[in-house]
Amino acid sequence: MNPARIAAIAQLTFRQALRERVLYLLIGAGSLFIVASLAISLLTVGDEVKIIMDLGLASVALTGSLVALLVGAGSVALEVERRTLLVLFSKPVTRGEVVLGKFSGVLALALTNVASLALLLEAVVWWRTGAADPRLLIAIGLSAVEVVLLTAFAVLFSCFSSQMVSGIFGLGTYLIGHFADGLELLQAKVEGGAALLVRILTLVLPNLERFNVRAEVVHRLPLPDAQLALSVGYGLAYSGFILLLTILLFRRRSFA
Amino acid sequence: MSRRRSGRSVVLAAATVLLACLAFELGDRLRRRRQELAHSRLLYLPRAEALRLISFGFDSLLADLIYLWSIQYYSETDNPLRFEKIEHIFNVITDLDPHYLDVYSIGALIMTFDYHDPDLALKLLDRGIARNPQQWILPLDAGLYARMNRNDHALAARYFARAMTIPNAPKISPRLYAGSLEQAGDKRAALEMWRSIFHDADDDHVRAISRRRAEQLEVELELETLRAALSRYRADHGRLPGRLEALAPDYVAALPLDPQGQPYLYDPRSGEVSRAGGFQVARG
Repeated sequence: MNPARIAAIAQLTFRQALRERVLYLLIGAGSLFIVASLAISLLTVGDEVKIIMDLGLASVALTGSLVALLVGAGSVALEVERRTLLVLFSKPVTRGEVVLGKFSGVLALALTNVASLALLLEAVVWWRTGAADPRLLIAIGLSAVEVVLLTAFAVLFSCFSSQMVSGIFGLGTYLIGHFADGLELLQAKVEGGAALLVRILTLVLPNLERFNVRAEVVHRLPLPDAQLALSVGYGLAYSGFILLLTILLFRRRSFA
Repeated sequence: MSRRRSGRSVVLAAATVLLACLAFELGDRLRRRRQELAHSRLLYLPRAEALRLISFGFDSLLADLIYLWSIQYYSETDNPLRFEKIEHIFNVITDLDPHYLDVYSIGALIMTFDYHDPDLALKLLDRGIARNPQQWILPLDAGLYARMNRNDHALAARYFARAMTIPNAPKISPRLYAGSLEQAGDKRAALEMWRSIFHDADDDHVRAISRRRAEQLEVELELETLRAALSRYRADHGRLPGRLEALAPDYVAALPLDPQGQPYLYDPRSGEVSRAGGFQVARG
């Protein structure tokens, strides 16, 4: 593994992804929601800032996730479809470096998006209350970890299917990941083999709700450091696992 | 060719205008049927458990949106059916976001003053108190509704007692508690509370109020004691005593003096005891 080659591929991926129109559509929609939250919050009776924060944090999390999934879906798949990947393989780069380079490029883009929307949200909160709220960064930080994991999944799917199928798989992973708590509810209601199956699914499927502390942040509820550290550890470990799995499988894939 | 093209353009423009008019007309008809629609919309509001599953982690945002909608919905005073699902609506919002205090407060306000059902309001506030035990606003609200809208001062006292033990509760909470105890008839507990407020007060206004209330209660309690002693005396002797001093030490340990050190007045003919000069406000 050569970090310089990974960085070069990442840079190229980042530049290519900047040409994706969907990226600007998502950033535009996310920014619009954050700014519009100022007007929407006027409809409430009570704490207007709560509405601004809820809408803003949801926009940051959702936009970051969608950028990771939709841009990541095409990261390798488009190269395969256009046959440009074969050109890349003719250079002295390993498949592992390609996977890591693509992952890093998409991730850099998704995290840039998260950071810019986070900045906008803090600016809106500052404008409305006279002070930025550093606690929002906790929720945004965990959303960023979710973005890391979703990027890993997007690259995995992109290595083995078309852009559209990868996008659908990615969105499916997002929905299942946020449905994981529902599986725990289901586990309590079934018995025998079904319960075991649900238990295995609960353990194996990514639980994206572990990165959701938005309500705690908005309501200023205590967030134990251990819980935050566990969530970050879980996200990074799971992402590492998916990336290694992608590299292992991608090395075996034939492009003949 | 050009004429045919311009003819098509005219037809297209006419069709566009026609469709726009149709859409506007249908929209207007729907607006007129809004009252019915507003009610039927509620048939499709599922329980919070289901909504939480399909909100994919945005349950707090979903709670905001339903809350915003509910505010507009309950502002439609021309819809007589709007209260039919009020408990369900506020339960859904508070189940989705159990720490959203505004929903409990505003929901209770609507239930009390628009729907005229303070019991339902207290039920909602009780749910909020159970989920947010460190928030004084909910027991304080509940105490005020219990006192003003249910006239249940004992219940109000329980809520105020809870509110005043929560950190950062407003300074008025102990006074509300003492006042409710008094209204509920527990004069001794109220007296203790007013004395404690007087002792802890850090401004003259509160000190003056609490001193006045404590003195009034003290006088009321002493007069009650004297009346009870007189009643026992009459039962034993078949007549009222000529002077109050005759009560001590068999019927009262010692004759009390009023807060200004004056003896209580006694009319041996009627057996009535009173304070000299009635209730006076003592200056602190």
